[in-house]
Amino acid sequence: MKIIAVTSCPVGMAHTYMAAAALKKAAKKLGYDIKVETQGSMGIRDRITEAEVATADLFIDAGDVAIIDAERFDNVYRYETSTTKVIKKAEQVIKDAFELKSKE
Amino acid sequence: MEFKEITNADLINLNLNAKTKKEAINVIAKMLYENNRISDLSGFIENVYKREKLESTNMGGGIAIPHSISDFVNKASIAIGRFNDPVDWEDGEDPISYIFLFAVSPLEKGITHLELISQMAVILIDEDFINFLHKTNDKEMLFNKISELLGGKI
Repeated sequence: MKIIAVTSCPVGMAHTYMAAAALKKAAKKLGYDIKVETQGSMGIRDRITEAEVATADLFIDAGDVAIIDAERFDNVYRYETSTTKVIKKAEQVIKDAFELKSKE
Repeated sequence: MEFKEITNADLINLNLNAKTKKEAINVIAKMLYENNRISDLSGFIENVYKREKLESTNMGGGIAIPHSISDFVNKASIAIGRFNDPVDWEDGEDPISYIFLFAVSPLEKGITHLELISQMAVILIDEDFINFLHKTNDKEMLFNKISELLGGKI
């Protein structure tokens, strides 16, 4: 299973990067591939490619503010959350997202 | 760019007291002001609260990370404080024992200062670091530990 995720927060200094690190750590632990794009004060980093979107099973939208070019992910199942939730409980966020998706 | 430009022993205090969130943020921001890292104490604190009002920066686990990209910042900085008694933050949240206050000037956006600060934030979700943080009483050792963890990343 492949996950793509975008993190962003109001200042773009701390939460964006902490949430990205938390997601990567949790995905690794749960055995999922993940690519996390950060949209912070340092600009867009690790931008998700079209190829990655095409093979993704789940999109985690951890944007506390509207994410840039969100329409790129329109064809992937979207789970909306916040950076704070991800920082506190990244594994639970991923599990909840897949559970909701399975009920679709 | 080295970590010692962002913080140093003068900006770390592991023996602080505060009764309220306001007092706690104030005492930490004061370290920045007294070391000439910010130009206006109340103006900077106002900017920190602007971010804080959007959503509390209490991360759980007794750590809060108030921060601002503010015109009142002279030089990108991190001030670190430990409180002897946990301080209430917002209703329904765990009280805070540690504050990591991040300050960046708008002129420094997108450069290495910000990179260091964001990496410092990432260290705060590292369990080994948190265990170390709870155990250490020596600010030089804390500085060295963070510096070591950041080493090679920048």
